[in-house]
Amino acid sequence: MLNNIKILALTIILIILTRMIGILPWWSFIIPVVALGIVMTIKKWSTAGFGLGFLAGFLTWAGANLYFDAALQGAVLDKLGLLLSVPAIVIVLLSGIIGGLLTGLALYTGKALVAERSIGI
Amino acid sequence: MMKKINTDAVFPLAALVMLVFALSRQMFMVPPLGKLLDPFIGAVQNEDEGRLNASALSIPGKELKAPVQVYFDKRKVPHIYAQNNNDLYFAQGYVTASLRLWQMDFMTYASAGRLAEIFSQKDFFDYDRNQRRIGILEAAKQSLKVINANPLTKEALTAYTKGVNAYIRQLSYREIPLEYKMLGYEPEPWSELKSVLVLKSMANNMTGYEEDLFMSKMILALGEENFNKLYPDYYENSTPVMNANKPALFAAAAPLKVPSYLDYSFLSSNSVIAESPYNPRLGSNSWAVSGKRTKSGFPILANDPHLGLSLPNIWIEMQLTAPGMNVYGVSIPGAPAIIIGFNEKVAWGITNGSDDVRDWYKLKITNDYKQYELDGQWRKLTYRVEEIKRRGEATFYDTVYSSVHGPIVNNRSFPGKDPDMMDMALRWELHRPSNEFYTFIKLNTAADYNDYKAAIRNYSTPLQNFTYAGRDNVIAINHQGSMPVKWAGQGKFILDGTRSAHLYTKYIPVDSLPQRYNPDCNYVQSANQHPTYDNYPYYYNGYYSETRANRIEQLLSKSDKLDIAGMEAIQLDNTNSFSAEALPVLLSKINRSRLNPQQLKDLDAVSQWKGNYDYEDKIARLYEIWWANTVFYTWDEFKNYRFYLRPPDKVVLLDLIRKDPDNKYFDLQSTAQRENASDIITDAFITSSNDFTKTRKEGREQWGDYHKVNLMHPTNLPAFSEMSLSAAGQSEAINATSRNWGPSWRMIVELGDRPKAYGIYPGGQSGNPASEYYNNFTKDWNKGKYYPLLFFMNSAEAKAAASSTWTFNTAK
Repeated sequence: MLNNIKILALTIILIILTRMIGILPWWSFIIPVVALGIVMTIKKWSTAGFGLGFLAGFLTWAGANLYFDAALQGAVLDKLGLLLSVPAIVIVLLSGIIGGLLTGLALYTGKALVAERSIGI
Repeated sequence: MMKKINTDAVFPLAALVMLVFALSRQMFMVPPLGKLLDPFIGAVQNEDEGRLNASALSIPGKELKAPVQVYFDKRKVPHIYAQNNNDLYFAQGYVTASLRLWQMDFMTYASAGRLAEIFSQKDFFDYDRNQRRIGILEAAKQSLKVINANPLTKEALTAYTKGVNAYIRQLSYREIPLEYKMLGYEPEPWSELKSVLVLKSMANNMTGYEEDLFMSKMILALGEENFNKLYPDYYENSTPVMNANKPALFAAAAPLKVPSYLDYSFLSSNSVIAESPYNPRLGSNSWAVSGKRTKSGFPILANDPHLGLSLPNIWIEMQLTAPGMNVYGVSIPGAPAIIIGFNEKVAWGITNGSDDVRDWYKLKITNDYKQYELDGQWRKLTYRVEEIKRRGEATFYDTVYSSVHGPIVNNRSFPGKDPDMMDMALRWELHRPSNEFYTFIKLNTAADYNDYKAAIRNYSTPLQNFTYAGRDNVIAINHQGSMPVKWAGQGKFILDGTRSAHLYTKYIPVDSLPQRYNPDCNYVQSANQHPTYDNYPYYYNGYYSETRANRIEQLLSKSDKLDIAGMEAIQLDNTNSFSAEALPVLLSKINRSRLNPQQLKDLDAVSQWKGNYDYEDKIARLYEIWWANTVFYTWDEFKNYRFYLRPPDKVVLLDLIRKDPDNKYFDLQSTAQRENASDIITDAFITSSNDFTKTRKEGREQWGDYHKVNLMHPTNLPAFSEMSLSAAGQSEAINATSRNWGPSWRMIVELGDRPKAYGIYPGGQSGNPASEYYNNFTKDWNKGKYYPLLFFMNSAEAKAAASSTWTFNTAK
């Protein structure tokens, strides 16, 4: 349980730190997350892979979108919602799902790359 | 122990790569969702207005000669203070781009015929081909040569371009306008050509309408006598721009003859004419009143150009200041200088000239598109190849042939919508190289009438009515632009491309163009009406509208103590002077005995009406349906013409009701008996009263319940547009609001020791749909409010009123 919380926090911090570097492409956070997956396996931290990553990605993307929308006091999310005829919160959830899928897959990929029961290529 | 790579990882890795790929690009019209919804660089970051709200922002300006200050007032109107012209236009480009980059860039794609680069649907490719073939991009290239040959305009355009590019260069993906993110492309560098394309786009909007083929078929179908009666070039009740030398007797000009070459085999008839998005009924108003007629003793100028209403608005407000220049007004994003505005000494306004400057020549061409016939000789067709890039598809190379007349727009490879337009060459004043920037840059620094005259003297396209007022109480109006010398009817109909006699080579000399200078009545006015009476020595035709001009005349002539409040009332006047004139005529003809009690009640109500389209008016809608039905019933025989475009002008119909109520056109085709004017007016009223009773029961009876205005974003996305705004006014009232056209900028300026000016446009200074400044003027505009325009006499005043300040530093 403690491991799970640690990994969750670590993943979120990794995503945010990577995205602070302006010149990197939008998907760049995937690489440190994959690396984290590899480290997790090597260090033999027993945690869920995809699920944990999904949660971290979801929270970061949805949370950051909500945060910026509130802090900048704009209307973009509402307008994007109007565009798809859905409330703004659906846009936030959608962004969360995208962040979640990518992070979850990345963490899972990292873990799988060096899994114990590996058959060499 | 080193682990080996696990095959189990191949699938999630592949899924990850594919997902990133898919989310990075636009697919099936879905925007690149990954990038767009990324909270760190995506759409939500477009809410960041740190720069626009910064109390002090320093911008590197290595390309500048001296520092430049930009003071934004509370409404985010920039007041630019530069120490030379180069720096001024650089800053104008930079600031405009920072507020409106996507809009101005998109306008150049649309104008040049490059939309297929952004949108993959086939419609856009066809649009692009048409745009190239009518020659907008080619015309812009030719005009740029002329502009670059003039040091003044070259300097302005080069500096403006550098300024836009300085802004674009420092943008990261996070900061690019939202529309780029949505549509999945990025800003390209600005160029001088793009600025020219912006002006050509305006010229296209104002002169792109035509009726040549329709008129040709109509004169053949109706015969000369009927045609001249139904589609005359002049109307008796008019107040032309050059409102002088009114002929004692209205002669309806010399009637046009069916040109000898024009017959059905020439046209090969029976076709449908494509609908044009342009509405010739809509235009602009502008007037100037000398101090002899104003309360203050100072002259007042008013202008409200009517254009397609859009978000962002076509205009952006600013003040430009440099040594020798202090000018305020509106500029078009993408083009340097102020287009409509005022300085300390003069004010000017513009309205569309509405003349027909677009003519078609039917050619005789060899089957291989190598040669065409002119005066019995075969001449070589020239051609150019247009490269049309397409998103997700191979580049298309389109060959456009040209004769001496102009480009052949529709041919075998691009048939267009109308087979009759095949192999016709387009001659259009827009094609002729011209330098409109010169006029506007010179107007910006004009100090008196002579400066004004010199500035507009070489202005050619699109033909405009320039209204002028000087602090020294000089007022003037000029119908200015290239107006070809034509024989009667030339260009109203399709011309014969095989005869050189059909080509016009001369233009009306500038000094003979319609104009007025300090007239005795002490005001001048234009509202897209005829420029002259029918005694003008030159033939011309166009798409004029007299109604608003007649109303402006009524209102201006009534008072000799005019002031700014009075001018506002005139600009916001909701009366359609034609409706007011037509109503008593309709009432005199209606047969009351055929009406039931409800209809009689409605008739009593409508008889009190004064032609007023106020928001709360409960009669306007009833009258509108009544008149529309009358028009429809009268000209019902034309519905059978497959090429039918529009009925004769309303003035013609009213005249017919008055003077010839038994005319055959009043007879309905669908009935056995023969109707007269009185019968169909009564029929029309019964239908409209019944219709109106129905909607009244639904609770809709005010004019504002029906009359809706839409401010559309160029992508037509409702989320970025302002839809269905209930509005006062009507397309032919001075307050000419309609579904998607209307007063795009209202300005009133009183000159004096210090200009007093008021203005407003629908929209807001920012083009960013996420911004609080995107649409913050619209409510006030719709309520008829005006903002005081803060014209500062010096930078200290501007600084004191600034809500944010940008400084361009030259430090390396």
